[in-house]
Amino acid sequence: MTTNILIGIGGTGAKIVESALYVLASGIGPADAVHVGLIDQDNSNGNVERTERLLNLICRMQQELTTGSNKLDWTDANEAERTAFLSIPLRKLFADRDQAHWRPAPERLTNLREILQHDRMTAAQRDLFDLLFRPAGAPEAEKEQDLVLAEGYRGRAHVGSAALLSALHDDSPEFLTTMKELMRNGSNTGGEVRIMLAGSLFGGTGAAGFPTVARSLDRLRQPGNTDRIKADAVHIGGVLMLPYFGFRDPDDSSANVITTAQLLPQAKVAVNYYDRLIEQEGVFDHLYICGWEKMIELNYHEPGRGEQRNPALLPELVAALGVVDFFTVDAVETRSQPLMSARRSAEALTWGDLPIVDHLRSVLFERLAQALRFSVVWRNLAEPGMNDRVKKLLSRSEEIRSPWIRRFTEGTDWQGATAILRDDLKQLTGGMIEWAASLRLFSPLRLELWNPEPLLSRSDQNKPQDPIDLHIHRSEDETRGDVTQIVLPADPKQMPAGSEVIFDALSAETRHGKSSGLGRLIAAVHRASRPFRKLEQTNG
Amino acid sequence: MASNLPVRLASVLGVNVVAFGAFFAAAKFGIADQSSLAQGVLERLQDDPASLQVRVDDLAGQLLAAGAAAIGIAFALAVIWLIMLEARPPVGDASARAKRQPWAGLLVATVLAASGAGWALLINAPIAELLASGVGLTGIAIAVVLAVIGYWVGTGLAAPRSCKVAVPGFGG
Repeated sequence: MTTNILIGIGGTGAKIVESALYVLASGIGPADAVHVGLIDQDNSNGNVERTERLLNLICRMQQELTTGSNKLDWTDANEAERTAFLSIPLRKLFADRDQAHWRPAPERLTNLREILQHDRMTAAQRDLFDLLFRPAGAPEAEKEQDLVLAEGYRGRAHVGSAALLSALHDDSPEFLTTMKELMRNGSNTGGEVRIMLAGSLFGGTGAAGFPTVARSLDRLRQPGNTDRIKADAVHIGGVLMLPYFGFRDPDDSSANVITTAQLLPQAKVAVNYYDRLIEQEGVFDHLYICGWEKMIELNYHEPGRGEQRNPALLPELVAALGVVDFFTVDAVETRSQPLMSARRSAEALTWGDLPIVDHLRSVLFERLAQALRFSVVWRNLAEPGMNDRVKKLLSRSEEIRSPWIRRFTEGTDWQGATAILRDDLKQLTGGMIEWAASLRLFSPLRLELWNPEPLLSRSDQNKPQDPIDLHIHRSEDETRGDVTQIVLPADPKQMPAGSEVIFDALSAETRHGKSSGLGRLIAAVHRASRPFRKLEQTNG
Repeated sequence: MASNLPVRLASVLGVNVVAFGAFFAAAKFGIADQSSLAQGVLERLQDDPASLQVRVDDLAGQLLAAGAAAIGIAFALAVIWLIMLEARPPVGDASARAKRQPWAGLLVATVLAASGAGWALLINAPIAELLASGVGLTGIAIAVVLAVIGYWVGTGLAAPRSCKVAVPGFGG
């Protein structure tokens, strides 16, 4: 058994985790559970909030579908009977607190002076501190010692790194405590521990946190460590983003934020630094580096907080595939030779261009396509169908009009947990479509993976914080187009099955393994949504 | 679709063959006897049992022709409905329920066409002169009822599961 741990550091790290969560929720990834954590000083960063909300949603659904009255059968020995959707267990990193987000410096410590206890420093320490970080009272754009960290490290990686080190070892030790425990338990039960860090080497929190956290974890796994962690069973991977998006420069030129023009030089310095980190210290067993040849311009600038809510972008999916690779590779071995991935066409990106090992390529297409098609069918047909009820002659109560929904949901208690699960599913499927749409909308090249455009009531590239709205209602005729267009097949000659095939399958399907309640309906809709459903596969 | 069109058509054919079997039994053993001949014919041929039997056989033959026509029409219209489903299968519950309109239209067409065939073969035909009062109508009624049953049960059993909701009594 492998203990998989995925940690997103900073806003970009959170966005990589977001893409990874959608990929994992589709059933692409390891068989064993993935513990997910997020590190950001900015407590209300919109990117972190969105990812945390998604993780909470998936965890809540998995909890209900595992132990509640609406069970979904993920364990059937027959692969054809098994549902891949949500099958990879996701756990919040801090299970005891039911939280995934770790905020390094406590709320009361607002800047580096307070974190490093400036008032208790000796004169020599103060001099050194002043040498390394701009003293208090510097102009707004150059503040370091008294930079308010509530909005993240704002491109000041060295400030963040110092603050983070202090937090890791002194102010908020719960992160390392949790990691030690997972590493100890995972490595001493005959299994492996795979820790994947995701972040950017530009900007603030990611650039500061990525190497700092990696080094701290690497030290924990050194041979002869006192925490009884089996050194050779713990593997550390990283997925690093080179600058791939930029903000409009702030209107106020004196604002203390990083600008797009500063990103590339900062990234260049960071790449040299990582080179040393890998070559000399051997911190990472696998390091995935992802970039893009053109910067994706986001037409706004917010220093942090909830307003920093960037749309999901295509390079994050590529980075998420690095996460999947690290968690699924048979053996994590240190490679001295870099592996490269490149597209076939300069203008377009197709399924064949996604960097993933060959044996997972068809799985990636089939499961992601299936999850997207499931999302459409669930939102367009199943969810409204559950509300469409009629009162039968001589019957006191109303019943669902649709025969197949009625059949699959027979005996379901529609109150309480089921109502919450329905809401959650609506959110997850909507989120998945919006995520796919966002990747396409902001793609710097022609994205030939999917086309959710017919499902959108609004898409606006000039509003990157809220670029997309979905149609509330779709007719059956509209669904016909939605289902066939949502996934663009890898082979244009092989079109995915249409909505009539899905509806026929749903009408004829009767098997549901050990699923119960709403789980039966989810399993059936997911099964029917396979992109290349062969005829005669149902038992109806 | 869960099964192909030839299998569906064979199912409809089977149901209609059974319906015709029922009509055959009713015609041969229930209607086609001397009591169904007109009083005048019976009186004229009372001393000629062989000729009387020829008339009875004529009546049976004509009844079976009417039944075959009526049930054949039901079969043909059921086939048309199934082909319509195959050509434009439903994509959801509403479009599946909407298949009931052409189904009902073809049912009415079955009734009208089967009645028309019965009228042409039993009422507006030379054999009508041989028949006792009401026999023709009874024959037509049985043929139409069995044609309707053949159409209804045939389409209900042969329709794809997704379209059964369009056939009353089969949409559970």
